[in-house]
Amino acid sequence: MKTKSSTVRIVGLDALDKNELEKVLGQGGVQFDRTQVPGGTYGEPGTIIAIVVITLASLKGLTAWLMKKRRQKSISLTTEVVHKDGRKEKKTIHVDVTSSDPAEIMKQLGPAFEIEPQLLQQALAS
Amino acid sequence: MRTSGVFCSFGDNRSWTDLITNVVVLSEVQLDQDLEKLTGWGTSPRNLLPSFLHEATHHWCFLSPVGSVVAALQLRARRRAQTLLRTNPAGKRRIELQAGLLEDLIRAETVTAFLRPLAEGLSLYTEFDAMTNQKSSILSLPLEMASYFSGDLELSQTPLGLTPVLVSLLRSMRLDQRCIQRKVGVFGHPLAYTDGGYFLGYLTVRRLWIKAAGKDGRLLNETDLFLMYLRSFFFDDIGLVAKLLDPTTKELESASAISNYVNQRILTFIDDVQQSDIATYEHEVIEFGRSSDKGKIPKFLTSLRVESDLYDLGSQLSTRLVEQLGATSKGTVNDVFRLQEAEIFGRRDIMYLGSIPVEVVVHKDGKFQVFREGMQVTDGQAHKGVAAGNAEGSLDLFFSMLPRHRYRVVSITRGKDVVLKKFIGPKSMPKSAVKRFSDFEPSRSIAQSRSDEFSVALEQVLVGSWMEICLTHIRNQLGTLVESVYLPVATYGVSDAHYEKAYPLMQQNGLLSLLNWDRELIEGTALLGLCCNAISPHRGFVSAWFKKSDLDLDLTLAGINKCTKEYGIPEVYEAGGQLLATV
Repeated sequence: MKTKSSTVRIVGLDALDKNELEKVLGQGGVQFDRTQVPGGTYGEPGTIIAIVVITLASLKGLTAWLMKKRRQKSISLTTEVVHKDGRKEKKTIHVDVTSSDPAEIMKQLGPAFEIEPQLLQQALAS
Repeated sequence: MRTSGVFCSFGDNRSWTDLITNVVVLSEVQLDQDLEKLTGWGTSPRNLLPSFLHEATHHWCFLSPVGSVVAALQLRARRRAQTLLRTNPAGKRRIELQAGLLEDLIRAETVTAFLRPLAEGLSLYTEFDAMTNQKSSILSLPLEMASYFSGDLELSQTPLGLTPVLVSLLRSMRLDQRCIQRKVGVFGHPLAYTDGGYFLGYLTVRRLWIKAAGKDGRLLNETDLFLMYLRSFFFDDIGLVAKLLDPTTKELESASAISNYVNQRILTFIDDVQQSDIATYEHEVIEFGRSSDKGKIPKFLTSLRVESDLYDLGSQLSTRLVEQLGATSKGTVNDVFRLQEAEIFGRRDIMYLGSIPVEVVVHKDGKFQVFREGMQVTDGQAHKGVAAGNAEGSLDLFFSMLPRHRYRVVSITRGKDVVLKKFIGPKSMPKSAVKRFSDFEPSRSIAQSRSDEFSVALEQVLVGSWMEICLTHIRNQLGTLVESVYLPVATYGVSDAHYEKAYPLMQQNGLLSLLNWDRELIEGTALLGLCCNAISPHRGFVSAWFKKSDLDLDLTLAGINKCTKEYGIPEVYEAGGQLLATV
């Protein structure tokens, strides 16, 4: 599946998010990193960063993960989208997760990750 | 294992406090966008509150007799490193400097490691649990400061004072989804010293709270009073100061004396602290508030259960240390560094809210503009005598945590020029306060970089030396030793059979695998503790809030009970329709 953006980094996650993402994306479908304090060697563990390559499968996986958080009604994700041309764009995405229909969530992720509309349609139809 | 001197806000890894300089960085502060809100009273963005409370608690702990001595030991070690590098002494002088440097580092790193889980636990307890009520007669500094920054100013003008402001503020913060997620994040941390000791420290502090409340029931509701007492018990402990400065021990013996002392203090807290100690402590804090010494740190003579001989010794040794800092008459290299050290030491009460690099333009008419990435942040009239021109500079916002300095300072510097220093606070600003900051170097980055330079020198001197071998030997043992002190408290009441099952799992993933990675159960467990302290421990109130949050209290309690049966942890007590959770 071709998309304008190729990779998304989601910051501020915890160990529960990590476990859930590994389950829905598979161990090879997501990589993790940890945020560091300035100074490197003085680094303090904190939140986790998930690095996901945007594909049809990962889009479905991210949707499934967000649906686990339906109780929260609205979820804010702090992300850094790394576009295919190398541009990096930091943005906070707000996703309404009240719907029980995965397509409703996927429709919101499409524009957030700049997925081409026709390809998003394929994902929704698959 | 390398012990770090930087303490971080959980969930927001770039917020940190440096134990030595006590410099704080609150990563979420957007000084360029929120300057006006941050300088107002009660107008600071509320999303900053969790990080603010966390870091303010670190700052408050380190601005204490123990925190100050640890900083002084680290600074003296760094000065000795600079002297070794710059003067390259030989013979007896070299050995003296090296031995002194090593001794200071062993003591500072040992106590930092042993207090680290407690420091993190206290900060998390402030975030999640500390609450005041109308019956409370004293208030912790982090909560008081939080009310000035984010509380409803109009509400605080009533005869009831700050209490309703704080209750409202903390309630809305703790029942918010963001706070539940922060607590879930803590549950996912390993029950270990590695990774910062967050969960280990938090479980320990919660256990100590329940123990103390067993002796003085009002601590169940006056959680802020417990926070104050626990913090004082360890960080205002002049007995620990005596151990840190004891001239009769060396190297491993010093490390052992410090670790044994901290271990014994935890046991003393559990076994010996009485209701009367809490009452005496409260009285001492109130008396201190009435005294004219508000700019100093209070002394607790009896309530902290420190033996009087040890108290006197600690007082004498710390006075001598402070005198050494001030003795700079010879003009030697050592004295130059000692002056810098004294300057760092003398500004440890300052808490920075924000600090950003900016471009400062001063016009011929004395008016200035401050820009950040091309956008104007603020403008105004520069101090007299500031030359026209533009250059890079710094915008800093800070305040002193000492009780008599309750105002904020906005500072704009351009290179070395102070373009503006503006005080925002009560109308009756004391002259001494204005005087103190008139010749104060305001830039956070400059303050921190001086300390970092000292740190680099220390690393240079240590690399490949016999001192490094000795220090590494001690560092490698610290994690296991610290865990051996904290784990029995954090898992108090868990049977051996349960412990054997639970600990390997908790060492990896905290509570998460025990709670079967079940998001609703984990979030419910987090909300239970938050709810009991924020609203009421009454089952009816808790149940109602669970419903409002789309969670089911009965299901959560059933899930926790199942976990308790299998692993012995966590526990929820229920009596008289009231709930009490250990996490």
